[in-house]
Amino acid sequence: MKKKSASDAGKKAFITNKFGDFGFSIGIMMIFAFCGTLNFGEVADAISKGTLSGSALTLAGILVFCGAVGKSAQFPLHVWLPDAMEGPTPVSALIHAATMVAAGVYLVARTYFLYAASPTASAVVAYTGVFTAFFAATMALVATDIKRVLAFSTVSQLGYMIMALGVGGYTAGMFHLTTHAFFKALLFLGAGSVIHGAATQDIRDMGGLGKHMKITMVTFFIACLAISGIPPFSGFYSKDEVLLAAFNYSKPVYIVATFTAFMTAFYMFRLFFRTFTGEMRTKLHPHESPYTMTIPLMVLAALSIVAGWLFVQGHAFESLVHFKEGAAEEGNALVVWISIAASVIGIGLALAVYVLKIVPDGFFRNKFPRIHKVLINKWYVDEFYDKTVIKPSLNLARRLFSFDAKYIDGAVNLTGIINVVISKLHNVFDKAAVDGAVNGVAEAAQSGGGLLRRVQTGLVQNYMLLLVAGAALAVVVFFFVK
Amino acid sequence: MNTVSLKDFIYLIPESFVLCLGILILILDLFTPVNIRRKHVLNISVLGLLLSLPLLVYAPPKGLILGDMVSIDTYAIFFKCIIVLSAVFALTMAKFYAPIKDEVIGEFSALVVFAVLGMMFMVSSSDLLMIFLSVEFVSIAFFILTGYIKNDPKSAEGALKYFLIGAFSAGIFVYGMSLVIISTGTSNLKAMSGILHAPAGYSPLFLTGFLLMLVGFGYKIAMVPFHTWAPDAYEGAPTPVTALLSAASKAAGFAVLLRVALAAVTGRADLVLALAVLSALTMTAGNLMALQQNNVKRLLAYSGIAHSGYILMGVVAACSGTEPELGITSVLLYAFVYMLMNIGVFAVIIAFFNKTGNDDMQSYSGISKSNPYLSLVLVVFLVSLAGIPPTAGFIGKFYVFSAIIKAGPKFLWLAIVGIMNSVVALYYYFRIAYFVYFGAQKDDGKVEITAGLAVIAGVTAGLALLVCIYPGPFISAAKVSVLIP
Repeated sequence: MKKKSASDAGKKAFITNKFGDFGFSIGIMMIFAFCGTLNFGEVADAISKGTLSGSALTLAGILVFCGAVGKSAQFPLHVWLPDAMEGPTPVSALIHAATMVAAGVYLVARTYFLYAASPTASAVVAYTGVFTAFFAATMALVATDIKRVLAFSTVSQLGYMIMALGVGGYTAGMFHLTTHAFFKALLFLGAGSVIHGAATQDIRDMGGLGKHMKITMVTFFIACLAISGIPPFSGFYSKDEVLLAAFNYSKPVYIVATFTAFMTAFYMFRLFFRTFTGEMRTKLHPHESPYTMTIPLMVLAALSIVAGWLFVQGHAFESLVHFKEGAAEEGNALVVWISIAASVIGIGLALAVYVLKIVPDGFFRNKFPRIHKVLINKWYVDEFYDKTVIKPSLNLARRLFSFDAKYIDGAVNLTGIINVVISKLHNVFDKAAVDGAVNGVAEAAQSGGGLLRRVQTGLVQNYMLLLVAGAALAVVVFFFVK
Repeated sequence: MNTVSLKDFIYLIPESFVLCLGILILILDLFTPVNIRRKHVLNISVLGLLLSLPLLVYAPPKGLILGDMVSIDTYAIFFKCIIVLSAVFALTMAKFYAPIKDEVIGEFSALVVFAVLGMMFMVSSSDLLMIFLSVEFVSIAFFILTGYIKNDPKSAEGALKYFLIGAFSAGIFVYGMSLVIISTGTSNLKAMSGILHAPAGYSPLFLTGFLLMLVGFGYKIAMVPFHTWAPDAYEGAPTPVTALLSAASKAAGFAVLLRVALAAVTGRADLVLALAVLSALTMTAGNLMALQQNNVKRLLAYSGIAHSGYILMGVVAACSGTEPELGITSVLLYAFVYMLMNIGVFAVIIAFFNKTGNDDMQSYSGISKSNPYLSLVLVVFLVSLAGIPPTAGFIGKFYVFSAIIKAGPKFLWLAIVGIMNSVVALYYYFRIAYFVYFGAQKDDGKVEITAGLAVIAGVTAGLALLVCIYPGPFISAAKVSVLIP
């Protein structure tokens, strides 16, 4: 493993998240200042009574949302997630697909009463979400590392969920969160299987792996169909609900979201075709992964197929998230068909470029070199942060460091020394009073002393002295030191 | 006051059963050939104790009996279940613990059963005299059990120290008790509580007496500075006895302490503060001294001292008045959880001992490579002792800490001390795990894990995880067992 880059990625994730958490904690304090409680139910009551309202409510909502932005890798704090792909692939599958990044979405859902009461705050959520969804999808179009494509895709899909929550699709957002967990975990584990079998992460080096890794290919294909929103796979149901909520909220948001769905289908199948079909581009020795790896793939594939359908039976999911029978959403055939069409066009385009070669590979790259360069460099967000945040911070840190080395360290070292002295004292006490006595006794016993002699060495007297002193001290302190 | 009548023995069905079991084992032991004692006598004691569990839970009616000296209530039953369970586990362990020889295993089982009987009375005692009697009953059984490996000087040393300190503290305890009885005119806890809560109920004589009684309780639960016997006794005692000492004896000690404290301390701010200071002192000293240990049993003795400090936080919360139920629940839950993880960890220690022949941390170096499952189970217990989810230790700590925080801002400092201590404790627990997983491997011999030990370790580890993952039944069991003061 590339240790350095992995630990750098760890730091980046940590620091970026702290930015979000900073806003989050201020938001929490604000809510506490206004409502005097942090209990969800009581805060919701306070809002309905108007204790927290107007611009204060909006601000509190946006600040709490900051936490979600960090954790769920929304723009502009999305930068840590692609780098975090340095970690081992199963970790990526668990943390970056299903569990940790979902925390931000869950946070917004859990504090939904804030956004339901503030149209401005929910608009911020919706537009951040839809922009992130679009923005991350563009970067996924050009990424060449299999895990990075999936990372961008995750960011994009999280944007989708956040958007759904912002546009009022509470159920839709949580639904997409759930189905996404299945197929994204499947994609990551599939990618892990590919990396395991092919010993590379770069899709430019892959190709034709399908012949050697049948189970991985089939399951990966299912996941691609699910994420693209092809019926009847799970992604179709949830994505459809998300788009419907967006459609009812605002047409521009809906259009961008649908365009993102098209891009999603394209980049996922770009990934699929480049990995599993065509000719092998470099000399790899691929092999199917062992059953310990393929069985989880098959289980997740089954779930990716049926989960969406299962959850819409009798509005099961709605009753799950609302703790009761939810109201049925109005269906909209137009939205459904446009969504399917967008996906099919995306898949078709990928097919045309990477399999049928109707459009030559590199056509877009050569036609729009500038756009490609911007995308490949991830919109220069990292560079922007480097110039505006990291460099100045480092400068400041350097100056503080020299101050630190002179004054603070002295104080800290002193504390350290005091600590060491205290634990040494403890050690001395333990060694001398307890161990010393015990060892002394043991040695004495070894050299022929009997049991009685052992009692008379003074060891147990020590213990008793302590006991009596303790009792006496307790009584004295109790009555005289009040 | 009720007088003593024959009818009272209906209330004492489980106790009578255990008594008969102990006598039966002694008789059986006489007539059983040495070579099959380990198998048969021990199995009968384990089976008998298991049978007493349903008797405990379902059979006896509840009430005050024997002249109000013994109280059969759900609170006592909860602790009795903990005690019986840990004795079942400890006896099963003893079966696979070679230093206890076949010749003496029968008497050993009988002594354990009698110790259980004593502890059952201890947790039911509602009168100072009864408390003293039963505490001594238990102590004497444990003195012998601690020194059970006759040819091991450490065992004899531990037993002797345990005995001497025990005798000494019992003297102070009884003296304090006499002062308490003189000042209140009664030895009955309920009557005493009434007298104390009348105006001018607390006399200086009573307070002195109560503080001296704390010495006796402190000795039983290994509270600093009355803990000195614990490391030697834990290290020297046969490991099954160590497990029993740490799980059952401590639980019983806390049961009595809490019962007395609820009667005598509740609402008296300075006494509550005294308990709080002792709690802080106990956990801090226990943890700091544990840092230096290399012998795992000795380390666990100090860790046990620290855990006593945590449980004392629950006692403080129970007595400080605002929400006694939560405090009591937390003590009950912690006692149960602590029993689980200590029994488990000692089972693993016995398995390792059977291979390495000693209990030093260094001898565990790299043992995980040849014994992955056992090591994993050990880590579950260590994580639980450190109080990290998803293990029972976390639930125990969580309840104790929330009880003390809910007790009001005046004990916030104690919660902070407790949390800082939990951090310190991580170090020495994970030091064991460090040796097990990252130490250089000495040889690749597999530990011969016997089925019995595997069952104990597996069951306790499973329960330790279950309590955190699905705590509902355990918490409600503790809640219904809350003693209403």
